[in-house]
Amino acid sequence: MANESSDSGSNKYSQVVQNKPVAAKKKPWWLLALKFLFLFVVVLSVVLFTDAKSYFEPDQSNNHTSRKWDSFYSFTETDTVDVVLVGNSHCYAGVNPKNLSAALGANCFVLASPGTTLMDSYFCLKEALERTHPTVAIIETYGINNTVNHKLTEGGLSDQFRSYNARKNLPMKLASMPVLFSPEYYIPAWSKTIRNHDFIFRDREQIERNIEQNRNKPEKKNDKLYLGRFVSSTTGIEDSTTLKYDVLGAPVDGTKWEVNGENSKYVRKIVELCDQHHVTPVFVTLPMYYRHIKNYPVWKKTVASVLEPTGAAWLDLQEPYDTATFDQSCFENTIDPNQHMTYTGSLRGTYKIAHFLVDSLKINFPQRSATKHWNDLFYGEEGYFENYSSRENDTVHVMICQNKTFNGIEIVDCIMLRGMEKNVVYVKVGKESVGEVPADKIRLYAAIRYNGQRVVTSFDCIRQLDFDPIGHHLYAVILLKNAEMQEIIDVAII
Amino acid sequence: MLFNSFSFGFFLIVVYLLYWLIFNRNIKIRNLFILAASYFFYGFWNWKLLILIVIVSATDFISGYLLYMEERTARRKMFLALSLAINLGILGFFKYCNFFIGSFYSLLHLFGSTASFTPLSIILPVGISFYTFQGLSYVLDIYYRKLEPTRDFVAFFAFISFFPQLIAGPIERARDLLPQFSTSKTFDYDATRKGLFLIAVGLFKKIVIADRLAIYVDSVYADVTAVHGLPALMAVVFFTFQLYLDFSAYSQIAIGTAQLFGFKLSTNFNKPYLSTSFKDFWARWHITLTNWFRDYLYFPLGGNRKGKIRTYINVIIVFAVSGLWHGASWNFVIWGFLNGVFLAVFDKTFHLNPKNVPAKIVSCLFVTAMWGLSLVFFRAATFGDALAMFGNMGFGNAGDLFSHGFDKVEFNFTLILLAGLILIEIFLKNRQEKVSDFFFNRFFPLRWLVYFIIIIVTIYLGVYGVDSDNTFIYFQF
Repeated sequence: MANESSDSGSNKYSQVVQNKPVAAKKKPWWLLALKFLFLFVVVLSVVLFTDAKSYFEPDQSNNHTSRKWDSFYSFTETDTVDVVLVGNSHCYAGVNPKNLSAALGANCFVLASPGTTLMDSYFCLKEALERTHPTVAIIETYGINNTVNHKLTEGGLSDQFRSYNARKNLPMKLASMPVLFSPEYYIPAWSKTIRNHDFIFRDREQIERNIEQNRNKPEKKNDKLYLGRFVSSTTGIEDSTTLKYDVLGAPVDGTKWEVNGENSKYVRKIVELCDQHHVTPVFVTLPMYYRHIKNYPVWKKTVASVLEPTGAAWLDLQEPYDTATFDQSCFENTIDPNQHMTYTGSLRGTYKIAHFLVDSLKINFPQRSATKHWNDLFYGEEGYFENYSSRENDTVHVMICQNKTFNGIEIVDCIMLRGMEKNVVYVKVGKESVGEVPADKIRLYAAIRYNGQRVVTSFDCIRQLDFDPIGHHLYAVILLKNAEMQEIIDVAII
Repeated sequence: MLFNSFSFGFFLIVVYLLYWLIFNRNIKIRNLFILAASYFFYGFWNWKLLILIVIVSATDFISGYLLYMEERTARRKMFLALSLAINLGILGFFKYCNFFIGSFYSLLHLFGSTASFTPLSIILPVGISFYTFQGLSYVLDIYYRKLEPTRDFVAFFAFISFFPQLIAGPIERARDLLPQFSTSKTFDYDATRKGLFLIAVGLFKKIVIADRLAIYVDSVYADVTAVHGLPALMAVVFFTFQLYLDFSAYSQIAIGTAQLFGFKLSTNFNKPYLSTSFKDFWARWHITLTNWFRDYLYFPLGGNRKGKIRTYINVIIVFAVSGLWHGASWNFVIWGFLNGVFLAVFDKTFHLNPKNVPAKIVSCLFVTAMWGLSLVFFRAATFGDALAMFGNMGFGNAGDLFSHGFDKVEFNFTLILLAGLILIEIFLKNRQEKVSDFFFNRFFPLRWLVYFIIIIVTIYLGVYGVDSDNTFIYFQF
């Protein structure tokens, strides 16, 4: 294999060439092209075979990106998505689509993918708009930064591959390829084999799992209506972590936040895309813990310089920061710069977004919650009973009372949710009767059946900060398993 | 744009089709197209540094013309000096500026100075050592009246920047390559086939073997103080093969690529690890550079015409300069110096270049081993690291062999690849045949099987992708 030389230094080769008959020298170019093509097709077939068999597929058990696109296409076969959300992990960790749907009485879907860029968000949105006709597109702003797609490497590039692979619109994928990847990654973007061939030496067990069919599918979640939620952390910031802020300071410095021309361009393109499809674009900045960032006004100014010229609406939940709502429980327990919201944080963020859309932007969503189809779809899902009443024949979510007024306090409804360990009573109090700034507690005087006996007693119901529905305040109290509420006798604000 | 990148694959296909279907109908237009393609190829990495290639090309083109026209010796020397100053000035500034200033400060420290030096932020332009040397050979050949200058500046600019060999050679002589830009090209089935085969073999060597060896070598050299015994020795052995495979693969791909366009480039490697003497080795290793130094430095220094001692001194000077050419660091100078000493001393002392087979094997192992040991200076980041590596080599700690990027399976696979490579080289050397000649005389199903295996193994077992650093070693020079 050694001597790489051309024929210039080889007498033998020269002789061979010189002694060949003229006809042999004049073999046509197309013969070589044909042979080359044949070899190419054979090799391509082998690669396509291993691609089709998914022998080089990474572990799919936690691939929610792929799952959400599958679910999006499935959902939009019969339904229209009214609010589509795009962005990266901050978006899917910070917004709860079922609660947003319930709050708005509409269909909301999160199409965010981890670690992706604004360009990726643009193409995700573009593909989504080909498929459905939303009223609002929400674009989370963390992706508006200095990332240059063509320079992505390692983890960032893998995230981009994952998002790209999950999308399904072939022409759009082809069109977006030059924007999302440098030419070096065109082929890896399409072929799992090329991308992950090193599993042969680095992760043979994964190949073995892949060869044993059906052992590497996305984990089946017990969730028939999947709208793109994914929460990676449930516990909030611990006190020991806040001490680190004292010692180390804020891990994120707003003065270091930059936005490049490519990102600015795609902000404009997103707004133009929305205009073309008659969709209202809304940019949303989901918060990090206030002690996590220093010099945020500088960051804000940087992002504003890109967003404001577009005239699009922008909800910035980082500033002004709502300290009452976004407490330590709302944020991932980390001092890593890339801090996400917890489940609690996502609920609170979601209702902030819902109020912004309805109260500030006055957007009229199709009132799907008035339809049977929508209620059938969402009944019993996350956020449903916090926003809507239970059905009369529902023996698990029992309606206690509906549309009654006690001492001028309007009770929209009161539902008892029967559980295995305990029963929870939700009381919805009309906002108009108590004002926008509600009391932390209300006192219910109610009749309950306790161990088979009717008892009249009082309960203090605590306002649920995680849920802030559009038309009412939500209060709740937990009852013992063997205590069932029967009737509300009176209500007082305390 | 690396040869082992998908970008280059796309580039090559597009340029090849445009070349044969459109631009090859007229020599001037064809050369202009080659020049444009070559500049695109280089500019894809850093278009701003194209200006250096333009300056070098223009300087050498004008110098060549002036040297040819001028009869007066003094003025010819002045033109030559000017050309050398510009070529070597560019090379010196971009490659050696920090090295010389840093060395000067180190020298001051020896005399008690506490002055500190912050290296200047200078990008090392890829391929600068290669294209400046190629340009200089043109000027020097005209100066020595061995060559007539060309008046076709497009052909000359294309000669300096010809993309298959722009980045890492082979360093072509104008008398060999430049005339090829003046001849018309017709599609040659056999040459194209051989070119494609050379590219495939080169990619296999680079992607499957050299880059795999790099995983182990990089892991060990990342912290040489932490690796002891056999793993350190294995890193030295692996780097010996990595360097050869990496660079010879580049040369093969360059020659194969040029062949697709109807150009013939010079041989750069010829089974160097089967050399039985150091002289033999240097006739087989980086042949075009060795010849360059021989013609333009060794001979002007007097060569072997001024007595034994002066010959040895000349050899050592040439090799030390060659070391410095490779990299701006004293490690490279030591590496070059050592090889000069090996050539000057061992061949004569031990009467290497034996006739019988056992002696040939011993000589071959000795030459390769000494070369491999000298490469510790080539690979180590600092002089201290190189010394630590020598201190740590041994035969213990065999259990640690699999903790440097390879598991047992990959380690054994690598050894099998190397064994296969050595056997093929021995086989071809015994037959005195080149791989492509041997290969294309075989029965076609065997050929197709080999094509298929080379491509499939490269795809499935190659080291490439998102997390791999696949740059050719000689790109840094």
